[in-house]
Amino acid sequence: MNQIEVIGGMALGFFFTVAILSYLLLDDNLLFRLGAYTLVGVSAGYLMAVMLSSVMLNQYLIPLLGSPIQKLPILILLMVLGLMLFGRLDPRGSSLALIPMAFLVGVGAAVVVGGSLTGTFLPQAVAAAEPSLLPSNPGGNLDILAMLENWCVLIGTLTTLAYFHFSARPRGGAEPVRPPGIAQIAQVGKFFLAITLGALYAGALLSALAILVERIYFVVQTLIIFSTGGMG
Amino acid sequence: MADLRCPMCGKPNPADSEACKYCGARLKPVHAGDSKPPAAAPKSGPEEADWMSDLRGDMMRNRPKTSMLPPEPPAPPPPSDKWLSKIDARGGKESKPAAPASKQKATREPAPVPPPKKAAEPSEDWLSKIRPHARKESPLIPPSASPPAQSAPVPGAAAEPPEWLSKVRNQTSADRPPAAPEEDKGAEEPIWLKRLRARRTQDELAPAAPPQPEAEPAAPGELPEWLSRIREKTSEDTGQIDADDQSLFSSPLSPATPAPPPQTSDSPWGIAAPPQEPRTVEPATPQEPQGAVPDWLKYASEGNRQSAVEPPLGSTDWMGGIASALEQTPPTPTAKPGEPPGRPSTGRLLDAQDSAEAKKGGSLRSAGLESAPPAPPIQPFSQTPIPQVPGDTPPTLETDWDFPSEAMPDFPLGQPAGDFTFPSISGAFNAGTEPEVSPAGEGEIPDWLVDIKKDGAPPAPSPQPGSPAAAPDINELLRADTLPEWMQRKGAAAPGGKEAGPGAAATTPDNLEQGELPRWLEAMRPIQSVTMPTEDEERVESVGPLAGLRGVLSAEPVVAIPRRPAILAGNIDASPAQLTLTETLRRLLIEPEVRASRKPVRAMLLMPLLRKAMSAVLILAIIFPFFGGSLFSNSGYQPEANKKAGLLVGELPADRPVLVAFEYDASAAPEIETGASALLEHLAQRGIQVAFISSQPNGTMLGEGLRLLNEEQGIGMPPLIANFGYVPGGAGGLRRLAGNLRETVNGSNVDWTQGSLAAVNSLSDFSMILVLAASPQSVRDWVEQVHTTAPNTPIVAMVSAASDALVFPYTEGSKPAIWGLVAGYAGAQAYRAAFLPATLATSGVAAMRWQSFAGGTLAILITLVAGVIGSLALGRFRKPRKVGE
Repeated sequence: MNQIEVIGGMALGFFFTVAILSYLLLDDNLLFRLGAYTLVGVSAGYLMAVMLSSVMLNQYLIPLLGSPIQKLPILILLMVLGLMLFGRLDPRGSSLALIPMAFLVGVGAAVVVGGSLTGTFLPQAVAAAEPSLLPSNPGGNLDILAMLENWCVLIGTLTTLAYFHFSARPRGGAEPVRPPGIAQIAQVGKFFLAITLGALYAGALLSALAILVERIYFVVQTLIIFSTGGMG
Repeated sequence: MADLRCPMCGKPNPADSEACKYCGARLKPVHAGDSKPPAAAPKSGPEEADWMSDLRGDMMRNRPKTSMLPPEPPAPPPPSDKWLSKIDARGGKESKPAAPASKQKATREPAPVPPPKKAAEPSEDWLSKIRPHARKESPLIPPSASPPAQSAPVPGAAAEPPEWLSKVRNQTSADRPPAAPEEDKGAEEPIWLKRLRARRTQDELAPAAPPQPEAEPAAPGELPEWLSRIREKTSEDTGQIDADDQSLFSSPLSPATPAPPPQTSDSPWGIAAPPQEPRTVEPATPQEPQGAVPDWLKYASEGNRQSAVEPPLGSTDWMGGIASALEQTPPTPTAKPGEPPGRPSTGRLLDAQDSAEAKKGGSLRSAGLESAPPAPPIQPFSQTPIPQVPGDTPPTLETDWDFPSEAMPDFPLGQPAGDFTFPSISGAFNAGTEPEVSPAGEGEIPDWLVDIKKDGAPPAPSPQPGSPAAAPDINELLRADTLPEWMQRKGAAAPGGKEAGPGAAATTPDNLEQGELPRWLEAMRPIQSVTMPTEDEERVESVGPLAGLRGVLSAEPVVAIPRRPAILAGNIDASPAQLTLTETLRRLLIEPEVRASRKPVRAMLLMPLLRKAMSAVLILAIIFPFFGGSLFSNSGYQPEANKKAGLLVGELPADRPVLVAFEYDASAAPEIETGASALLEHLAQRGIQVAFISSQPNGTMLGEGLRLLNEEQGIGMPPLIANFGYVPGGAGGLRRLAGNLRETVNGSNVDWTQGSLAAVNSLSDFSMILVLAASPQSVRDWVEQVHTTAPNTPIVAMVSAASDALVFPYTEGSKPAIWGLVAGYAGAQAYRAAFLPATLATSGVAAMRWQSFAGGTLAILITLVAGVIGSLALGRFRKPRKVGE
């Protein structure tokens, strides 16, 4: 990148960063909206450009023109399915787009469910059952910390699962309630859930703080550069 | 001088006025012998009978106040004695349909009196001639009893019956259709007599008919001379006529009537009467006198006994009285050219009146008004209207002629109240409690006519006790014990002779108690939500040239004026439980609005201030290192997964490339690129080549920028051997990538022969997969789709702090899916401190950023604690009260 590109990039970055941060003092204002709309518009434009170049051109048209004759039926079928998606532009042709949409939804669901079972559910279940309730350290003694950790994981997993047990028996005309054992266990699971959500909230705060720190330093750095007249 | 109040319009008039100056109604009643014509009467002849004037005036007085009839202007003295034509004209006027209420004012203008119809013009004082003739023939009536107003002698009255009878016969023959079979029988037998006999027989044999009155067979000597001759003449052809008349005169309304016997002893004629035909065809033969009562009076007396079961109009027998009188009247009107052949000549005299009165349902002629002699006004019962019985089904009236039903409706039952106001005959008519059927040819002259004769007609003979012709006293007839039940109720509903209108008909009888609806039924009652507006006659015009005037008609109807409907909410019956639910619903709907209206007060004042305060605190904590502050250590806590990631990178083979996946966007770049820079710098130290790929459109673009920026800043970056670019399809694309790497990234212009890339055919050929993700879902996709396909290729993830808690479980277990994890800015700093100590900044901008991040984290922690304490102090954590507590 040459000097103009760097200075121009820094200037645009400075302007839009200040425009977005103006929301803290001026609430919803013109600069904030200008920065937000510009970010959304640039992202959408870049996305479309990437789709045209990376997908339509590189991954479809070039293979279509240069692929052997054996692959043409599949490529033509994909093109037909893709053109049928344009039917959603008109309500009269929306039913035409149901076929490729059904294909996409079906394939996507199958892929996600299969990956979830084999990549998340089974490995996590095995990982949760592996830890010993009475772990020992390499010296053969009882590892108290590991034992507490394993017991905490076990209790937290069971009670959290019990909290999401929403089945309840009807009692005539009265309000249905959970079984007595499940209700008390669910209260413990709610405690673990609160801790987990607190951790997620803290992580979100830290992520936002990290971004804010980086932006403030960028603004300060840019001001220093523009004020000193050099890239330092 | 006291004013006279008009009985019609109620407005005061001078005491000496004869007629109302507003409506023209007669103010003073006309008594017998008074020669003054009624003021409200239409044009009539100079010789009009006083009784008719009184009767007309009485009728006008009895007419409802809300009558739509225009006031009749004061009429000049009647030019002739054509009282029938006057009745005809008046009947025509009264038969006008009721004008709507909105046009009532407009119809108050004096309307021109319609001229009498042509059919009634040739009528003369034939009725006055009947009485002397009847008295002359009746030994019970002295000749001096004739009324003075009708004392004009009728020349040749006694000798004329055969002549006029022959005229009637000829005229009847002329009116009959040429195809009528009875014309073939020649002129020997008068057709009207055939019909009369057939009708007589039919009436006598009617099974539903009440018992005949005391109609004894008249002795031949008691019959008038003219009648005796007719009887002698007609008795010769009895058998032939009986057979023919049954087929000729059978009414379509009584097809099942059995054939009458040839001769009935009860019949005064001694022969069977043919089925009843239109009444005016036959000049009704007067019944033989009973006792001292003449024929016409006998008809009247028998008509009095006509009950409500069979009103006179339906049977039309009363016309027989007139017909009998017509027999003694020499000239009869000629038939109109266009008249139907079934209509007799006598009917033409009353044609207009018949049609007019038939429309009203009333029947003045049914009461024998045409043949009534002059009579003084009958004050006691002249004000009594006909009681109406809405809803009561009147007895079926068998009309025994072939008149259209719509042209001659039943009388008077079944007529809507208010449409018909009966004259002074009502009391006498209602007095007929015993249903009787008059013989054919007899006119159903009601009691009032008898009383009129008795009171107003000087020659009225005193009837013998027990005689059917003896008219009972009207007061006797109106006694409660003599009136039928339905009539008593109606009589109670309209006491004092008030108008029998709809309002009177709706009056609750005294012997009935007001019913009380049960609650469940009352709840189903429709609520009268809108009350119909009424015309305000006192409305004052406010604008325009008529401003200030009262009673001005509005430009738009009252119902069209917008107004707020009067909702009778008090009629809504709700139980306490329903009221409770209603109140709860009201609070649910209204209180949130109240709370929402209160919320801006706090939100507008507190929230902006709180946001600005928090911003100021964070910015101050971030820029604190600019002023030389350094409160935190450069090295932080290093998790086990972070350590494992550094150890793995340190053990990677240098001849195998590492696949770096950029799964974040520009908004998360400041956080992710901090850890990415540390990892990439560590790889660069190891001399490992890298290839970029992303399942997000702008992922590889961010990776290219990061690498270029670091290279410009002198930070070591690993060599990039390939940029696979964007892999579309999300999880499906990653699955396809894991299954066939080269085919999936074939279009990205990759030189597979370059460097270590030549040995790469699948993802398993990479030494490590570094996933730089901002969301846990991207890491999960890589784990679920790629790790399951290439489990031997370790995955190291660098995620944001927000995704740490959700990605961390994949690092646990004996076979973790993610071998190492670097989370957030703190994890990157810990990784750098652990594996890149030479690059760890202890001063400068990088060190200040870490101090700023630590200061900001501390500020957030303090703010959270302060917020929790403040909320506890303010009670914000208290359980909100439920609605209704």
